Amino acid sequence: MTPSGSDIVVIAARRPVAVALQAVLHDWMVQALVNPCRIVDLDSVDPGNPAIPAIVLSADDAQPVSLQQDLAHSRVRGVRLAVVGVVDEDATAVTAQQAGAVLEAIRQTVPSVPCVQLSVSAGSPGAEWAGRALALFGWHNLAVSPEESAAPSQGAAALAASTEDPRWLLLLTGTLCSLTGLWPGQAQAPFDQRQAPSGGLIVPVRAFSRSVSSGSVQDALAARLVSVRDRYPTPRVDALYAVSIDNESAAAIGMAEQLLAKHADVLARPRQPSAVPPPVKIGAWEAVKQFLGFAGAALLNAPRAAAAAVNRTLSQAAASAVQNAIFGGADSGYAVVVRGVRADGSSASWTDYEDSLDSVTRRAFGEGELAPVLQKPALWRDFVDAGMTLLDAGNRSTELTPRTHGSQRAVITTTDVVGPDPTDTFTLPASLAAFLPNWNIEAGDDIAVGRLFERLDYLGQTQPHLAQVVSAERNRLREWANAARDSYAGHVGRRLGDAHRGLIQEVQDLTAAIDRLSGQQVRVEEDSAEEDELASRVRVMTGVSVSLVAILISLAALGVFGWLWAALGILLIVLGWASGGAYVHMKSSARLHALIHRQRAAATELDDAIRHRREALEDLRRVSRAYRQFLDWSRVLGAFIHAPLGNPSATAERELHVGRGLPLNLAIGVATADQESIDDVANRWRGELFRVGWLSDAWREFTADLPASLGPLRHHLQNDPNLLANDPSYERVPVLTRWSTELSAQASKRGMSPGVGARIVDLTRADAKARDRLLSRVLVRDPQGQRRHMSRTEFIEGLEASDALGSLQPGMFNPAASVVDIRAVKQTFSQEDATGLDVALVVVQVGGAYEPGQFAGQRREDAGPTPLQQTEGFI
Amino acid sequence: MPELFSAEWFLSLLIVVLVQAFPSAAFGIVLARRVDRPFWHGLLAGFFLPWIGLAFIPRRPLGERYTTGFAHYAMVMLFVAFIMTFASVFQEWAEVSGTDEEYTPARALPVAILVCLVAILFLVGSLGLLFQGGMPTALTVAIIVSLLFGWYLALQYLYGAGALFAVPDGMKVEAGPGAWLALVALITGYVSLTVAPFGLKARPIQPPQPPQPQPAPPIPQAPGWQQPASQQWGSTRPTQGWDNPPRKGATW
Repeated sequence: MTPSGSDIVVIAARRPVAVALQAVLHDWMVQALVNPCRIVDLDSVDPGNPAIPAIVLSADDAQPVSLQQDLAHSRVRGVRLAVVGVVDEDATAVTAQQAGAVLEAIRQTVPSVPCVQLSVSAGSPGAEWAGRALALFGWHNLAVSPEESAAPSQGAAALAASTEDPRWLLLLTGTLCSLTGLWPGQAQAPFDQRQAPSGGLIVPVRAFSRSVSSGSVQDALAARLVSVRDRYPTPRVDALYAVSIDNESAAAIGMAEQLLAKHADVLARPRQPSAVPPPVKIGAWEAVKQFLGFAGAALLNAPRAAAAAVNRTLSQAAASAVQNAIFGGADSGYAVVVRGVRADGSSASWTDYEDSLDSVTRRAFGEGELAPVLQKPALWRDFVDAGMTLLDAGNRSTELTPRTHGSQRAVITTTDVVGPDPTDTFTLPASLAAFLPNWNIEAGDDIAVGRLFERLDYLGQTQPHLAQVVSAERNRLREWANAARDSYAGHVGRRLGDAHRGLIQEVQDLTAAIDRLSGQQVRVEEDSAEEDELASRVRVMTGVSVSLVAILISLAALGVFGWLWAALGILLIVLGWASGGAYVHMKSSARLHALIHRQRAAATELDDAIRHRREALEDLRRVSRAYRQFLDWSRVLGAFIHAPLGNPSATAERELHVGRGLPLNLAIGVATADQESIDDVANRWRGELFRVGWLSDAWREFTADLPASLGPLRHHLQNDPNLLANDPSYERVPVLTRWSTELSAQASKRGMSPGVGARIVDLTRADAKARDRLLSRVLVRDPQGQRRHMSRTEFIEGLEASDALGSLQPGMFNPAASVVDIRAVKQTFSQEDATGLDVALVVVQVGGAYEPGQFAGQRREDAGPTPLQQTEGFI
Repeated sequence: MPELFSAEWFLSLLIVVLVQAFPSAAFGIVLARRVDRPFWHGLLAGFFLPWIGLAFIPRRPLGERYTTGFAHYAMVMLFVAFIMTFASVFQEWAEVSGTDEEYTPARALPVAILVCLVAILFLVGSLGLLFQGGMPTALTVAIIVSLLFGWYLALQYLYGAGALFAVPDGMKVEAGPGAWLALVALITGYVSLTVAPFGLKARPIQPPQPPQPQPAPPIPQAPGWQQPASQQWGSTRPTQGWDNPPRKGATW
């Protein structure tokens, strides 16, 4: 047997039999009382057409297919072929050629798959068994005893085929189910491991079965185990269990703070102010030197050169202030960036928002292209891991460790404390939605909540008649938003939202500061008129001094006084000019230096404001991107943690519709378990299912199951695992947004995880005690059609100890048979299998292997076991 | 003594006119600028018709007077000229060669009065510039000083250094320190007054502005649209539920 795939059951019969079998089996299948199978109408097989028409019966529908194609499309572990002939009429008897054609088709399609071949003959007592029963070499040729009996140890009544009494048909159908392993829970069929008797002999057979379908119990148990929509189980850590955290909100917020501390670079960076140059103290000689330099500049008719040299950088800074107008009331991007609303007042999408923000930033930077915003895949990986760690105490990161209570690991058991349910959205009533369209806020969207508050405030003031409704909605919104804020994901969103609001305010403040500081630069230019005054004085002093020197030289040359006096006078003049000039210059330059110092400080402040605004805009772009991605990841995380293992099917008591008219050989029941038993078993298994870190596997399974609604993007995501981390736009929508939206929408419709289902099945197989507890009560219908609850012991009474052999119905044997004990049961196969919680108890009794002539009726002259070569070598 | 209408007389007259022409041209340039005329209008009028040409330059209400660098320079140098002129009174102006005879203005009262008047003229000019006397004061002083300077140069040309003094025939007169001091003072004053008009400014007086209408008070904007991020929306919950975090953040 191959390790994977399933066993396929093919039942082939002539049309009247096939139609009857199909009808009964389909009814049972719809009620999940039997497993799916294929029905082949042998009369519809065209010898000229190699395709074998078949009907695939399943719980949903009956699908006509080609048997070969169906087998080729299925993962087949083994095939059980039952060719059913009814010996009462020629029209229902099967020929060897018909049986061979079906077997050949199977062999050719799945040649390496083992095939169990059953040639089942049925009929009424005294029918033409000898002439019409099909005996094939290499097949299990079985003749179903036409009798009704509750158990091997009890008596049996003959049962004839009749259009008025369905029991014979139900007996045949039930026996076929027992022989081919169609009862739910039957792991294998009775003849799977048995060799067919040689020589083409026919073996009489009768079967008893008790099938318990556990659908409702399974659903209830799965719902109890899988559903964590409201509360999470405490996982098992080695031999102990984790404990619940008392103050869950504090723990969730603590984890959110740890996450943001680890990834602090996603928030606004601290602004570093530039150091303002300290005031300069000037000595006497320095003052004279500065005066000489100033006098030189003044005499060269460049009175502003001295100040201008100092102020050159300031002028550049002032010139750059022209670019200040990045926000304006008439700017369409302004409303989107600051208020998050479109021109019509409706909420802007984040794609619109980021586009507007890029536009505004590009204008502020004066550059054509902006650097792309750095993605933070590690942040979101940690965001999801930390959320799962809060719920399952798994060790995923050294910095985001599980919570502990003493030495024990602790978990949050309330799902909403980790992440709000994305389906829990806030919408306005129709009376307000007319004024505020398009406001549908997802849980945890802190920024949208703040914007809606502003809009409600505005609406309440502009529409006074709505004030009462607005007030009520404000209260409802506050209550709804605060619930989300107290969660782990909500707190991360709140911190990002605070950073976002703070950055917008900072950009506005810095823009105002730049306006103010640019104005100060103009006043600095005006103040330089004093420099002109000082320069004029210096020029006058210098002119006077030079003139005096010239006068002295002239007078000395004319002999008015001696050269010595002239030299002395010149010296005095020069000293007076220098000292007086330095004094005047110092007095004036004290103010000048104060002015220059203020200029430098203002220039530094302006430079800082411009630089800080640039940084703030960069931060705003980064935080906006991070917030949008937070919404995406929060949506997925919320959807996941509310149904990490999928959604169990609707738990409803399955109604039992069959029972009336069943022969005594068959009994079909539905297990009904009380809530206490389900809770008890669920608690026993919880430790096995929910071990510490159990959410990781579920998350991988959840994210790997991409919904078909993604369209071509699904293929791209499967091929490129980094696509989510890079988050490009796909059809004008970010890939992450599209992915998270579709995945969260699918989460509520996702069936139970196959991995968990298999794990539950394993547990039911391994835990017989739990299975007995769950299947302790069975609902059945008695032959009169009345519903009746009985214990499982009562249900299987007579079959649990099947050592009694009994005898077969005489009506199928030749009264003149040569075998004395031909009716005697030779062997009993008792089989009790369980698949999951479905349990099937099947007891098959077989007689000896006899030639067809030992059976009732006239044997045909040409009849005999089908030669081997007719099957073209496959026997 | 040369005859009238001789070449010497003509040249001496030319000297007088030229000495007048330079300061007159300077004043003409400044006056032309004040009425927004090209500077060369005043230059030509002042130079070729010293002082008289200035009458052809139209006038305009001056407005508020103020002085700048050249006027300051002239003010100081006129004061220096005043000192030198006054000091020259007590110095010998002329020495007669071969004798111990010397002439000082202090010894000749009319000359002393004349020199003192010139000194006072310089002082007046200096004070006039100091106390915003403006163009009229400067112009008046400049006319007198330039006439004196021109007359002095013409006399020097016609009669030599002793022209001012009654010197016996056959004796040669040489200028003494007082005369040189006075001459330098006169040159100083002349130069100062020549550049003085470039420092005499006047700014037009602005007519009184009518009172500006007061802007209407701004219409109060709907609260909440421009509120800072830390503002509380709603006030039913002043503190946060879990641990009242001290950080900045929106609450509602």
